[in-house]
Amino acid sequence: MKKKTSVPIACMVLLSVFALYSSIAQASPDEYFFKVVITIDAADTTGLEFLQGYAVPGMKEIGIDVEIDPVEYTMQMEMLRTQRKPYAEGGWDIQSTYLDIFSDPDQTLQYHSESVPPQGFNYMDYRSADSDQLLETGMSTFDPDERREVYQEFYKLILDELPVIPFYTVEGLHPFRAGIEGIETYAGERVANDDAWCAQFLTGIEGDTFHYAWDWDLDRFLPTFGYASTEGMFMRVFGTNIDGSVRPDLAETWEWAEGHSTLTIHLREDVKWSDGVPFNSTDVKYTYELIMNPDTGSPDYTRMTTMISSIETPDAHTVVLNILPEGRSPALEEVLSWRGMGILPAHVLADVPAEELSESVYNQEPGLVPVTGPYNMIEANTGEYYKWERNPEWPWGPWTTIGPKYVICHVISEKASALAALEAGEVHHISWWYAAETHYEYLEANPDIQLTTGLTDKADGLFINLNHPILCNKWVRKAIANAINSEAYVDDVRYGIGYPTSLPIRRVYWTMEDFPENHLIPYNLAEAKANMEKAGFDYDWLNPTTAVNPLYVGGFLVVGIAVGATIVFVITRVRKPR
Amino acid sequence: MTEEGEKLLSIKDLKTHFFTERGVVKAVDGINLEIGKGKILGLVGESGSGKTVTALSIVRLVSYPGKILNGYILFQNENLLEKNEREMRHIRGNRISMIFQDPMSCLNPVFTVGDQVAEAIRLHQDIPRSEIEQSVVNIFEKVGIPDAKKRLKEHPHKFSGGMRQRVMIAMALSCHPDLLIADEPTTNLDVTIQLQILNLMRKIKRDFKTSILLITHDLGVIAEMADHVAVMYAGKIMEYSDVVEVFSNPLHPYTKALLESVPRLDVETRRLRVIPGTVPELLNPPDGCRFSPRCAYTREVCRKEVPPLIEIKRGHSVACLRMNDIDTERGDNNV
Amino acid sequence: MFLLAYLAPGDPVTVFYLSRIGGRYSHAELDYIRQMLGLDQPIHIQYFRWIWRMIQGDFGQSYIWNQPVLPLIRSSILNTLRMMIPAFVLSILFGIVTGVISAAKQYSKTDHIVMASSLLMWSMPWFWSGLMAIYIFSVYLHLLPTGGMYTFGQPPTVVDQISHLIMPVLLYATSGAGFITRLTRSCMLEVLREDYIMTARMKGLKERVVIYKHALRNAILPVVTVVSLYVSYLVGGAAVIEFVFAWPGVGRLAVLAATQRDYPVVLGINMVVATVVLIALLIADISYAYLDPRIRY
Repeated sequence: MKKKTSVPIACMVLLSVFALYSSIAQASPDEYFFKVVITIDAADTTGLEFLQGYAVPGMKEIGIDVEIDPVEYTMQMEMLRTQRKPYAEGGWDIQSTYLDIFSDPDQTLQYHSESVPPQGFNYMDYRSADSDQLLETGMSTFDPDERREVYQEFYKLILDELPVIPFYTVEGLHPFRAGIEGIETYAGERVANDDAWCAQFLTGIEGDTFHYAWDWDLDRFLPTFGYASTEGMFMRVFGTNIDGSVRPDLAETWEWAEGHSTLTIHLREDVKWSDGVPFNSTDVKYTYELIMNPDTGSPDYTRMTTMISSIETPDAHTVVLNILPEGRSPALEEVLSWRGMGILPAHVLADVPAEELSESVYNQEPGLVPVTGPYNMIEANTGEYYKWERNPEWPWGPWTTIGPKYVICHVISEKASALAALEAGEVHHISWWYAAETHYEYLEANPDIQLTTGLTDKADGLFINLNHPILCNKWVRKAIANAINSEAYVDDVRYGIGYPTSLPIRRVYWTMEDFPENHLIPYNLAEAKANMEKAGFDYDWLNPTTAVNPLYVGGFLVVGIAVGATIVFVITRVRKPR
Repeated sequence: MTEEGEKLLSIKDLKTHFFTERGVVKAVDGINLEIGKGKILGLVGESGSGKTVTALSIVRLVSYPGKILNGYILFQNENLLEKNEREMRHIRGNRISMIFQDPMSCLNPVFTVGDQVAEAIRLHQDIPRSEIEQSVVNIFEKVGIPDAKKRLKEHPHKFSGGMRQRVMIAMALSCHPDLLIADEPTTNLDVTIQLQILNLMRKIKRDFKTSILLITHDLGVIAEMADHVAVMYAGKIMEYSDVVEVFSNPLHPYTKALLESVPRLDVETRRLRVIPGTVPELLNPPDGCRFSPRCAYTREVCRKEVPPLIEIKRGHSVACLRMNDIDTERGDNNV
Repeated sequence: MFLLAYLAPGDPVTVFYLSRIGGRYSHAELDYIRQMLGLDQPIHIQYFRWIWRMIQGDFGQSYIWNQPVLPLIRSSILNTLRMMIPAFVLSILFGIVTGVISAAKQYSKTDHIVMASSLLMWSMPWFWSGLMAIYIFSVYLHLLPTGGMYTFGQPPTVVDQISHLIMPVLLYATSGAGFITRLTRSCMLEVLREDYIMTARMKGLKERVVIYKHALRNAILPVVTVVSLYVSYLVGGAAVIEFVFAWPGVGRLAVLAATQRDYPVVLGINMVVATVVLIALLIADISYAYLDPRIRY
């Protein structure tokens, strides 16, 4: 009996000694200068992979200890929105998440000191007079070339100050069945999720129907109440080009009055609704007033009412917008190109009271509202599929393309099932939302499938809490940027899809024209250490490898004695005759 | 071993072994038995001595992993071991039927008792459907179930233990079998009910001329009922004789010990005698005589040689090597 | 339930407008939407408002599907039942028959094969086996469609609908059958040891009659109890199969609604599914009384 109990007791002694030893060893202050906590969405596996493989090792190398704190996504968002304190005081140090890079910096004013959360998006608490000045100038500069210069100044500023550290611009992977042509538009025009628009460019589809899979239900048929997949249906006055610049869609030309107090829009005269009724200025006036009506419940209500005071229609194809002082900015053109600005037919909807429109049949059932875009939805079954039919009045104006007669969206929530449907040939295309790049090699090896990549409005990056006592030093942030190996990450994990980046702006963007191509902060640990030294950290003080720590020695001694004693104890016990 | 009168069943050298994972259990190891027509044979033995397995072997219902290895069972001059399953089914419940130890669990709880009895009648007798119920009522009345017509529509849980045993007997008798095997029919019943059931069985024997194989460990029941007695121990028959002979002149030490362990009022004894030790594990039975480890008269020879069942006088067989010495020698209780 | 939904981090507005469409809205705009949906009210007001409306048969409006909750749930639960009822019937039939066979032939080769395969069927995760089935039968063999209830864009035919049903139903059924087989077998073995089985055999009944009449009637009792509880498990597990086979059922709806904090839908599904499970238990209780004469109500 005694012999049997001695072994576990010895093990326990050994374990407790180890625990003691390791706690002493961890308390050793000399390994790192300081420690930061990176908060991340626990479900974001590629993000975790990035941090663990390509960010944390470099940061540890330059003397910054890192702890990763995975939390639920909504928790992370809530923290970002409401907490300004560093982690040690109950807030956060660094948040790894996606950054929105779809628009001009002046639209969300993320880097303006007055854009304080929770109203604004300046989660980093970035306060810079230079930045504020540049953003305000950009907002009131109408000449594109001047505006571009101002913004490029701003880009240089935030590249230097690094309130956020982006590392990777997400590229969407659009898998198609082989033989389909015209998929290039997916790479450019579609940064979001509107396949009905893109379908008009497709050719080479067997039969008259284009099938694609998407992982989410499309629910709102009127763009005013949200904008899932309505772009192919309801055209706007202004559209957006690949490079983010504004183009006329339902408008033919437009001009600002002197002093920018009015915006006059001349509408196209050759546009008809899909029921054959001609499109005219009443539709535009109706739609904008609907959005600006507080009873409607449009999410764009605040934005529009702070910019536009009233709308006039001098004739059937002219709309005059009277602009409030806050709205006298080229940003208004972009606001009018948002998806929520799709023009609705006044001749069908004008009689419906604004407060009832959202829950009326027009917004609940498809096919009741005529459209100006290439397709109109004719069937919708929640959780099953959505079906569009080609608009008989399409094409008009600058467009010449006619796509397949029908487009069907299969709702497949599970990525693996969607991939199987594509491989089985049941759908011609699956949405980039499935993030199929994790199966890139597998899909590329399949001769029945072709792949194309395209821009998205997302970048992965780190929000830095500038209230952190050490991270507020820009040299520390530069050092962190130098310690991130985003090029290796893109090659190893993302199969080369997407681009390493240090600037939270879309790669193809009109304000990026002539901007120095090579703006990526390189992975360079020597540079990083130099930056740390500029921030006042001395590497002579931090020398964990050569320093003889008496605690280490003591710990090893204790462990050695314990192990030896245990062995001797066990052996003597075993040898003892029974 | 011969028998006056006609033989109904005779078993020769029956071996039923159980092939378990731990080894072969020789539950019944070469036994011989005979039952005369209209007679009651009492099969006595301690628990685990192989009585029930013997009974199940007769109707060939020994379940896995048991197997009948050897011997033959002559029933009305037909060897039951050569019958196929279909023929056996025709015999079971029809020519041989059986009642079991525990009446509480022998009736299927989800069917009415009438249905359960009628099932056997329907199976074996060519009676029109409409008359089956009447014949069930008849048989219920015969076994003494009052208000039979009403009660046969009830489920077993509404019956008392004695009543259930009567139902079991009714079921067993429903096709007028030639042989009734009663496996400890009274063990789990109250004493007063026991007596009723025994009386019922005696009546059956008288009225139907049915032979009964009465399996019990209760020597009192044997003395009451049996014509002949077979004493079984560890899978073997130790002594076989008619009932008077066994009780008046037991020859095997085991039989003697059994009889001495029964409380008696007519003989004054200071203490009830018990047989030392327990029934041997049949997985690994003792060599030689199986009773030898517990026997008061054991000699070296008993541990080596298996005693054959020898007929000493007419109708009285004993399996003991030292049977003749026992009378002259006092047994020693402490082996 | 209401409190649980309320306590989950993030509200529907934050989750929906931040995660999916992108953070284009300012928080003033999000607050406005919150106000429109009544989410700015204190929780007890929200709760009583929900209860009051539910009593009147109004489960509210889904935030993310922009439809009344009840029709949404009704159509999805019908879709789930359409898959589950054949699966359930198949699994019970198949499970009981194989369970009885393997119990009747205990320790035989058949028994071992049945036990091994039922364990396999029962323990294979649906997610994995579903995808394997899709890849084998749809992608490589082109025999069956990968998912959905019917081929979209064509007039639905019976053959088409059945071909869409085969894989999810069989997957469901094999798993359930594996479970029921094991359960039936153990119950049967217990019953076969009972004395009344010997009585039945002693009557000269055929082994088939003994097993299917005398033993099964008794063994089925515990099986019915457990199977009725299994219904709730099936409803919960429906989500996985529905996800894999893009089946627009209630499990999938529940998961999507929960991840998007669509409380009216989550609560509505809870109410409806709880009712369905209660009905299943009630049916089990009633059938119990029918099967077991010892129980009377």
